[in-house]
Amino acid sequence: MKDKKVANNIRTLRFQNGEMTQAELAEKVGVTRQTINALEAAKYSPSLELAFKIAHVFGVGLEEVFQYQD
Amino acid sequence: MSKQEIYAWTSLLSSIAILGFYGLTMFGLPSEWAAIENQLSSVLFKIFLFALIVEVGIGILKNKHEVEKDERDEKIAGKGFKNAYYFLAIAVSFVLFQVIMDNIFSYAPFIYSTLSLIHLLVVTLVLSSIVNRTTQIYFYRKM
Repeated sequence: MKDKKVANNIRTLRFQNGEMTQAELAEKVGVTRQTINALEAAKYSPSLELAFKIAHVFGVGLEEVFQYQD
Repeated sequence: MSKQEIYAWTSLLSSIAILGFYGLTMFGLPSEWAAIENQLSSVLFKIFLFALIVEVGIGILKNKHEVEKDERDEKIAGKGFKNAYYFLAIAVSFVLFQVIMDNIFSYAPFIYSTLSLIHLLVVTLVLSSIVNRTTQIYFYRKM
């Protein structure tokens, strides 16, 4: 839960995938819309399972969605 | 605001109302503040009722597409319970220390009767609930 440690491209990927809304993505991965919002703002780092689910929805690899910043 | 955050707010409000109501019923205010005491009781009861209605309303208005609780909620709940546990452990240890001091060293503690001990434990219990919910709200706002 360290702030800004895990960056992500969720917002970009949502728009590249038919302008998917946060609510739609949340429903697909089984979390609340607020969690997707917190993820996009890099305020919350997801579990490995959730990270894989999100990458799977967009059909890309994990590192295309999430990047660890030293 | 997620459902769990709303529950945290309603629970915090009802805990504060219960604590205030308990304090007023058991100890009351000085006699010169008697008029305020009735108004305060009424306000606390309304706060409790409002929190209860909101909680029931949220429960009824379920969106079947929306997830009730996810990993972020559980993480935040865990932080709340951890802080509440620390508070409760310190408070109970303090109460036990007072009782032991009284029995061993005849030290005059502020816990002078079984009734005051019960009051202190009830207040501690409600305060730990307030600590739990306040921590949760803090983390909901932070992350």
